[in-house]
Amino acid sequence: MNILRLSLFKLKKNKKEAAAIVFLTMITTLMLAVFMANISKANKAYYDSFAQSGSKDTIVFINKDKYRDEFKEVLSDDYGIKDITETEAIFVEVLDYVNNNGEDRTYKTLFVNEKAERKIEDFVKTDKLSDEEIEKLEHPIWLPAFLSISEGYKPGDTLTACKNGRDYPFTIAGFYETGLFNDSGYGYKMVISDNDYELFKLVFNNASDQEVTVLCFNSRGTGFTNTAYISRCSEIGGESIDSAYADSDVEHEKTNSMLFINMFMYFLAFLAGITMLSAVLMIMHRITNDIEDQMQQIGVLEALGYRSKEISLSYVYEYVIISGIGAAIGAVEAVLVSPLMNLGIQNVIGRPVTVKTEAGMILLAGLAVVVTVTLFALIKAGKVKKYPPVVAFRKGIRTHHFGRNILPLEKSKGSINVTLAMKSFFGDIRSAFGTAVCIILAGTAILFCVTCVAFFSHGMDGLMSMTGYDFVTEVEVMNGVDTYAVRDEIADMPEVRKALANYSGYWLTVKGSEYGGVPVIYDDYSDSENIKLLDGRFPEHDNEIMTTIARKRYEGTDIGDSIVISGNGTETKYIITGITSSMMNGGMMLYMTSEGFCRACPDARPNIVSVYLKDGVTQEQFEEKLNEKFGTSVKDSVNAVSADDSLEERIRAAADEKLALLTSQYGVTNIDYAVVVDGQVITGNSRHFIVKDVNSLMTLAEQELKGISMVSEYVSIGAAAVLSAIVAVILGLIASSNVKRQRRKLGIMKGMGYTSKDLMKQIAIKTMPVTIVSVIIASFAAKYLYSTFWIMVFGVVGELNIPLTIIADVILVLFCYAVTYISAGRIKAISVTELMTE
Amino acid sequence: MASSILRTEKLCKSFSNGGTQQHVIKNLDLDINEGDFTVIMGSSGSGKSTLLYALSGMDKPTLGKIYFAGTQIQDYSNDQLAMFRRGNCGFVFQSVYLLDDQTVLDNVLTGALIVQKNSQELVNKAKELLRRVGLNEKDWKKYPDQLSGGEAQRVGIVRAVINDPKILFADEPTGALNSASSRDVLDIFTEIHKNGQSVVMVTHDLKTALRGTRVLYFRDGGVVGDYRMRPYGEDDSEERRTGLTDFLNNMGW
Repeated sequence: MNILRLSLFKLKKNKKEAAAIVFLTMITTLMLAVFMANISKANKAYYDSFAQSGSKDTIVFINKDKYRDEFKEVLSDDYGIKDITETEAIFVEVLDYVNNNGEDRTYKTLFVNEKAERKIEDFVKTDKLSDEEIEKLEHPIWLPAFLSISEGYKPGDTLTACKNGRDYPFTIAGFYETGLFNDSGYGYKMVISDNDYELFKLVFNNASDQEVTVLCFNSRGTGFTNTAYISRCSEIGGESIDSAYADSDVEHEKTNSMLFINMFMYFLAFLAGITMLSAVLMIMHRITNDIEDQMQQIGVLEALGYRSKEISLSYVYEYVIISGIGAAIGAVEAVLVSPLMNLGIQNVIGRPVTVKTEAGMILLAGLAVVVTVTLFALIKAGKVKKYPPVVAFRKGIRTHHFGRNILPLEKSKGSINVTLAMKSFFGDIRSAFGTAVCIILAGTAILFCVTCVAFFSHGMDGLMSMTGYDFVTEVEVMNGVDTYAVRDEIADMPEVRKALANYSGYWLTVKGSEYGGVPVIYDDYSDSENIKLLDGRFPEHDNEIMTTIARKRYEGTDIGDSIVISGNGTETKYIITGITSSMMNGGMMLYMTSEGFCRACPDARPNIVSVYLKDGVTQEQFEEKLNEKFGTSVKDSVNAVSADDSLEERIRAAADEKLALLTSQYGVTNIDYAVVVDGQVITGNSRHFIVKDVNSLMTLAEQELKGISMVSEYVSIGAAAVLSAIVAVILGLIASSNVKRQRRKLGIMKGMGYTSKDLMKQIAIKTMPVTIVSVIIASFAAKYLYSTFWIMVFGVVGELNIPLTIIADVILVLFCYAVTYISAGRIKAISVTELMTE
Repeated sequence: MASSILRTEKLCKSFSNGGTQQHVIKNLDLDINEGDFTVIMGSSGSGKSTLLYALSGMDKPTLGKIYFAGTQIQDYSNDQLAMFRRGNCGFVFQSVYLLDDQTVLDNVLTGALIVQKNSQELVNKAKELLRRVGLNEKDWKKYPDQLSGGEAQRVGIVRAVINDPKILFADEPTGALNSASSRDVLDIFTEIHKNGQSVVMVTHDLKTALRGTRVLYFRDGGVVGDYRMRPYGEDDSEERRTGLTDFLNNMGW
């Protein structure tokens, strides 16, 4: 009890320092608790939602025209998979939608009818219209619950699919629990009526979008791998099914969905580690100082009969109480932010989070903080044992100075404050270690966050520059149109900076790899604006290819290696000449020349013109000029309202609409027509259509990346602010501890005529060598962390912005100086007379 | 006639002690002349040290005025007082208060460099002063914990006079020294005074007081006795001792 009273007395005496450590332990507990509670919660929510859907854990689908019944047998024969469900679906790689608010959306979609859905999973409906209302719907559609959570769609809202200029309006009948195809990367499974399904079978009937045969099964523990399965099926079918195959499984979708949650959570854990370490170092530093300061008091207590163990415990109790208060506040905050975290997780993973607050995890986090503090306090407080009463009375065994006088004043030049600060620093260099560790860790994280803030604050530009892909306006030309001629004409338009003939809608597979890739084709890579070479050189010949850093990591292939690419059933060998980085397609892009690409896809032809618009030219302005030049596109013609002009013009407009429909939806390449009206023959043909569609890739990318960019920016700002507060607290503690320790010295110097400002300056300057060196080390660490982060998360190489880092370094050093200077302000409270009458 | 270097008008200093005010200096009017060696005596707890701190700008008075060479200093801020002290005052303390982590020479220069720029002349002056108080080249590199009490106090005196202060304040400078060391230190004070330095010293030691030219006896917050002597060494020491003892006896010492 007496010991506890001693601890409480010490606590009362040093309220400010106690408050600072309460802050550090509180922040640590909060971040650790949020990490521990939510990482498990997010996982549990994902699996709970998945289980509720009744879905099997794996889906594979193969284009119906390539599918054979033996493929199903491979699953049972080779992998022992028993419960296999077979059904049909329509897979659409890229489908444009317009939602209830008139906003454009693009989703990868798997359309199924109710019968097929019930084969895939239980079709557990959540929020929906009443049965009567559903009955009345002409085109009902059931959406995965993800779209209700992430997009805020409601039953009764409209969602219009747009394909080749034709609108297919649906009304949302409701939402359902979805196991697979519930993710923006993998796509969404949507349930439509039988009639709409039959219509879509006709609408989506080309190489990339078509009806597929779906096989659903549980593959966990069976040794199933998609690479081996594709290979086996190709062998059975006598042709490669690489480009006709796609799959999804629970673990991959979960990894994809949880990427940002995990990133955020592990970042929190990293921050918690930094604050914990800072708190522990500060506590150890303070206990050492306290013991030195209170040496005579320790001697008195020992003389009174207190055992050194009991005196040690008084220090330990002090910090157990402080960290206990911090941990309790942090735990309460973690409970309070729990609903907010639920909402965040729900929005990111697109699944309802119904798990209650993980009280156990939060308590465990608080306990971990208190135990860690106690452990380190015990280690440091054991120092009391070194001082028996007589030694303690003499203020310990005083260190005699036999060493060299560093920076003798007789040789000093310049400011006396700087010289004295440096003398003090060199005389106390060992205590700088803890400070250095704290500043290096926190500084690394701050510089990392600052770079992230700067990167994401440019909105989409930052992320775009990392994609390894040029976000151009794509002009898709009609079959049979000379793409190169159109390119030349577009290139001459005043709105256009550059135009390149290119290929779109192709997919390549890499032999022996589970990762296929979108081909990126340039004859001269200096034409590209976002593709940065990391190593080697760009491909120049038809047998050369450039791959990505992600592919290098996952497949182990490097410059000089050969890889076999499969396109339209042919297998072609290429030599890797260079490595780049890309965020697109999971960083798995494949870069080659057009000749090289045609070796893999001999029947491919350039079908698009990639248009680089001049600065200030909008997409709308360009499309307007394009229409003037080439006439309306097929897409626009379908939707064109007949002008209120002459009969002949209205007939021609109506005919054009029909031609566009036939051309875009049924693959008709050439149509002639003749209409006789009142003896007048009106003729026409489809040859005047040149442009099929115009798309801005930038708009599509914005839809995908804008949210990520914004959230990352806010998280970075928040983290930088928290870290700055931590650095401020650490430096404040160090400064106030320095003042306390050097009370006598500072009083003497005040007596000599040194002002409080002189002395504050000296204390702040004293921390500068450690701060500067630590910030420099932190810059290098941040560079490493930043590049690791980008490779781990996006599979691209992130380059630290050097000028920005230098500016941030300077600001960080100045910030440290200012914080230390202000914290040393308690010098003002030291009166010379108080010192002399002590 | 010597001019006044330090003057007080109605000087008061009180301390709050558990809610009650303790008046240590009460309406004190005092005049100290340039070149005087003023000794302040009084019983323990009479407030002599408090008076010294108030006069030297180490502490602020509660009320009243302090004129230093004609300039009022009682309303100065803490930093203004620090600036005032560095240019005008030197201090010698009973506990010496050397900086533990600095050598003898650095201790002296730390006091000097806040006032003057570093120069060879300044360093030579510091070394010369140290030599004059009996500390040789070997001692300059020593740290305070390697010095005897007398040696440390001599360093303290050199540090106090290095800036040629207008007035030197000393608070029981021999209080912690043995008799031999005390004599050495007092000889230094006497020599400094002979060179024209104004000194104000607090002591309760008769031998120390004998070195002064004026002894003020302080009691109940005010000066109750003022005794003047010729400079030390100019008169017969026995006569000097008797005169001062009589004065002090009259004061109830």
